[in-house]
Amino acid sequence: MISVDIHKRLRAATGPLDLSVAFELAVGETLGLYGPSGVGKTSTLRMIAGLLRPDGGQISFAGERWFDEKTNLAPGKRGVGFVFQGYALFPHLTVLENLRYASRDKDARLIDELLESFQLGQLADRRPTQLSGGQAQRVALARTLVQRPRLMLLDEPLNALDTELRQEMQSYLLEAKSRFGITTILITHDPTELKTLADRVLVLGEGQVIFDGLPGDYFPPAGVLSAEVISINVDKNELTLRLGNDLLRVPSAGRSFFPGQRIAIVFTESGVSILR
Amino acid sequence: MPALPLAWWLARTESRWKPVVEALVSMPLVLPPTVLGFYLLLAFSPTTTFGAWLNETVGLRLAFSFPGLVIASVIYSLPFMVHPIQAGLRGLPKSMLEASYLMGKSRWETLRRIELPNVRPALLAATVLSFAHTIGEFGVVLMIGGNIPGETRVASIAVYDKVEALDYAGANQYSLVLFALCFGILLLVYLTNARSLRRTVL
Repeated sequence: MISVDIHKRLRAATGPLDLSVAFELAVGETLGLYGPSGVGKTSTLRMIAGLLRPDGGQISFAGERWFDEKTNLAPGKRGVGFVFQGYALFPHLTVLENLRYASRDKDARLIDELLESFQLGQLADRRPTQLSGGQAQRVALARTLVQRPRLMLLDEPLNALDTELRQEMQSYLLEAKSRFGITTILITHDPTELKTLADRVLVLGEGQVIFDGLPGDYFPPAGVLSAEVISINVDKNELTLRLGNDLLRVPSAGRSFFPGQRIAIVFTESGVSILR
Repeated sequence: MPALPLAWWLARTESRWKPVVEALVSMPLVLPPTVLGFYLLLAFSPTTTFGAWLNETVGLRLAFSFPGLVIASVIYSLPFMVHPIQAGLRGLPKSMLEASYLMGKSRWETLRRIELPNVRPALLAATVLSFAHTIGEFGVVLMIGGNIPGETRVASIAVYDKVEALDYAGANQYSLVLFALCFGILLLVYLTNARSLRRTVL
């Protein structure tokens, strides 16, 4: 299990941002980090990898201290595989050499196996500049897996790809997940990607965790509409909601709401019901 | 050789001494060679403390000798070596190095296997430029080495000597060789750079 509870003051483009993130993740689980840009998703990932030093807090993995006031384990000793946004392939090495360089135990069988399952066999002698976006992405993923990481960190791995390639890569990621069962933390902007790949989602807003739970709970399924609370009538136990350009009144069912809150509603035979 | 660690440090450091070191490295670019040569001569001279220490403890007599010439040339060519390498190293994406560190590689291994191969054109340019610059050096060499035939007389000073002696034919010979050599070296640098550039684009 990985347990993270860290804070850091960041210098963002819009001014200082106090990032404070805490979560626990079970072995083999995939956590999605979601939120608008500039709320500290990448910084969180970099702190877990050991590339950025938190101001305080602690990180531990499987009972091993990675960071606290006294310890700060070197990135190379954490057993972390990191897929960077720009892939960070080594341009002077071929695909095969990139994998070999990354491999700690120089296990040729694993390298061959990964080249095979990511369909890179034909490209083994190419250099990164001769690869397409999807191919480079596959190399980056294979290069991470060849390190036999205990924890995989993916920074928007599918961002630069078109829809078709995205789906292809998602299936590669799922296969890697089921084959190696590696604990994974993934940053993405794409709700469908989160629903397919993540067991859990952590939503960040302005440096804080604003949601921690199942992706399906945060992103409503089809048929569910998102509405905004306009006003609350406590006497009648009634809410006024804005849905698109329409206003509608809904019974509040004894729950408390606040004006401006976004809630999920669904139309049923008996009327409108509030999901959350 | 001392330029490499210096360039690596300058490319990465956020130390507050960085501007000072950078200024020192760049000094030979603007300082008249004779000034540098004069101070080095003082430092190497057996009559000063440092010079005497060198003379007695290390057994090196640097003033008016070939080893002294070499050291002076290294210092004088430092900016030509450091600047291209520093610029090359700084141009590499940070994530590439971080990827290597995450693979458990040391800084030294990352430098050797990832950084240096990716700044090869800069390394080549730096080496050749320093070499060419050293060949053409005059002021520092004159101050430090003097003009001892067969020991510290270098080509550029030989030219000066011949002209002083009104031996224009001799001066022309030396000059022509120097001119051709420098042109050839520079041409080689630009040709190789153009080729490696084309290779990376492809």
